[in-house]
Amino acid sequence: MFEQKLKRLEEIVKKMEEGNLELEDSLKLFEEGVKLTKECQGHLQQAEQKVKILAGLDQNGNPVLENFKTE
Amino acid sequence: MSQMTLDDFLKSEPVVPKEETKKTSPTKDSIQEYTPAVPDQSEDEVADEPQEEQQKIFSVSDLNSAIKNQLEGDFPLIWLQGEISNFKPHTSGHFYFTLKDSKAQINAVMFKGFNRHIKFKPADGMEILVRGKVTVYEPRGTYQIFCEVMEPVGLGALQIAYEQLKKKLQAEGLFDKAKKRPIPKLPAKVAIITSPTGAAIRDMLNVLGRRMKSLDITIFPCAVQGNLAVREIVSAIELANKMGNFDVMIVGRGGGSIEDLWSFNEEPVVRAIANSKIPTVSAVGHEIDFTIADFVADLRAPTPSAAAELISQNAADMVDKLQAQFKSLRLVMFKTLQSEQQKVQFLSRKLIDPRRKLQDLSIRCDELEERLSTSMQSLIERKKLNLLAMQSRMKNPIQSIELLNRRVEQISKTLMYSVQKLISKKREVFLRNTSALDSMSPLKVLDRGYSIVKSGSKVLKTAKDANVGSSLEIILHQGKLNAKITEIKE
Repeated sequence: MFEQKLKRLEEIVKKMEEGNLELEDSLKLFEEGVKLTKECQGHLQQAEQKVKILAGLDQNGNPVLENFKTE
Repeated sequence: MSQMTLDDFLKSEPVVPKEETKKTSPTKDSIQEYTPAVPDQSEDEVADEPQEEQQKIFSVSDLNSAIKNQLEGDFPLIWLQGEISNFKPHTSGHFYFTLKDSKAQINAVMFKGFNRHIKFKPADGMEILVRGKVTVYEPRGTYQIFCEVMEPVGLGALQIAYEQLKKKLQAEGLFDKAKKRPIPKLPAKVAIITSPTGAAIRDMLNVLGRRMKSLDITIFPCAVQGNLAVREIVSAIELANKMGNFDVMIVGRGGGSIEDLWSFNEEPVVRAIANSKIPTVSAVGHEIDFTIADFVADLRAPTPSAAAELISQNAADMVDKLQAQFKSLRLVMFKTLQSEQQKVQFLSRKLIDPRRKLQDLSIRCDELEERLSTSMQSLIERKKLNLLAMQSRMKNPIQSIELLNRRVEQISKTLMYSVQKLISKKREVFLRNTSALDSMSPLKVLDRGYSIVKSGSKVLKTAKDANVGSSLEIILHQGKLNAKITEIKE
């Protein structure tokens, strides 16, 4: 997900650097790039670490997860 | 036999140098007392023996001292082979351990001064050959081997097991590089198989929390040493695989002895890792600890913290990469806009603005107008000059009239003057004449007493013209007289 977005961002930069685009297209790509950057940053910079621990298995043998808290 | 504690060993330290002096002075006596018992026994009569034994009563100190002398004398410097167990490197730098074989064991000590020359790291299970002397610690009645040289011999039992399994799995191709799957650059979900209470999990969560908060972490708790460890680790790996939505798995534990880490050299654990569909990072013990799990894992991390760093390394890189891309994006957009702007400017310079043309024309018009007006003016000016010249040459009728007028006037004035002059001259003449006339006037003679006598209107100049009796008018200077002729005289 993130990597695809980053790849697309790289594509956009490359395409724009080649420099034979209409201004309109450049602006569209730039907009898309900014959006992708924001999304990627969202992926990377989450507010809180999510840690779960396996507490056991239920009657059907499915794993039961609980939030894990470090002391 | 109970193992010697660390304290015992520490207490035993000072004993060693002292033994040199002991050998010479007080112990000598006990040897003398004791030694005859052995060599002399053959010489003495057998009958004496029970008597001697009954007579000789040892104190504990004496006995230990005698044993010490005997043992240390009999085993001054020997070579001893055995397997290390309970290896304890003390903070003082000394090594305390047990040497054992299948049937027996002996406490061993190797002081810092000696052990610093060892090139390998002694560990439990290791078969070694030591050169040393037997020393007795009299206060406790214990003895140990005091090692001066240590060399490894072959392999310990665990080492052998390790090598055997390693060889077997290597032959199966479980360590092949081709089998290694890449660790995802940016995993979203990680399974961590370890003890939930150890330092390892704390270290890993710290690193991941610092470097990659976005990572979704699931801990599969299991024992990592002891009887349950192998079974729990295997079932945790299998369960993580069954859940099947993990991008990467870390299997490991913190540092410990070779026995502590041993579960990760057990075939079921190693095979479970090898069979895992989730790319796996092994993180067992410290940098120097290599387990077979490390060889089958897709990536070996030297420590649990390092494992966390390895899987989050790219996240940090990605942040940099993302920032770099975003920077490039902005730069290229800026450049694009700049070049478009330049194009526009270039074209707009080429484009002739009709207003500008109009302005140009207007300016040109003004200019022409000005030129026209200037040339017109100069033409007029020239013509004017011409005209003036002509004018000046041309006689002005008014002027001539005026001139003539003036002349007339002058002439008339002159005329008037001359008339007047003439008049005055004539008057003068007249006046002169009148005065002359006046002077000659009879009236003037009257002044002098003369009178004019008139008879009628006739002035009488001769008496003959007069007639007696006629009336006469005598004119005097002042007044007139009327008279009658009374006589006439001739």
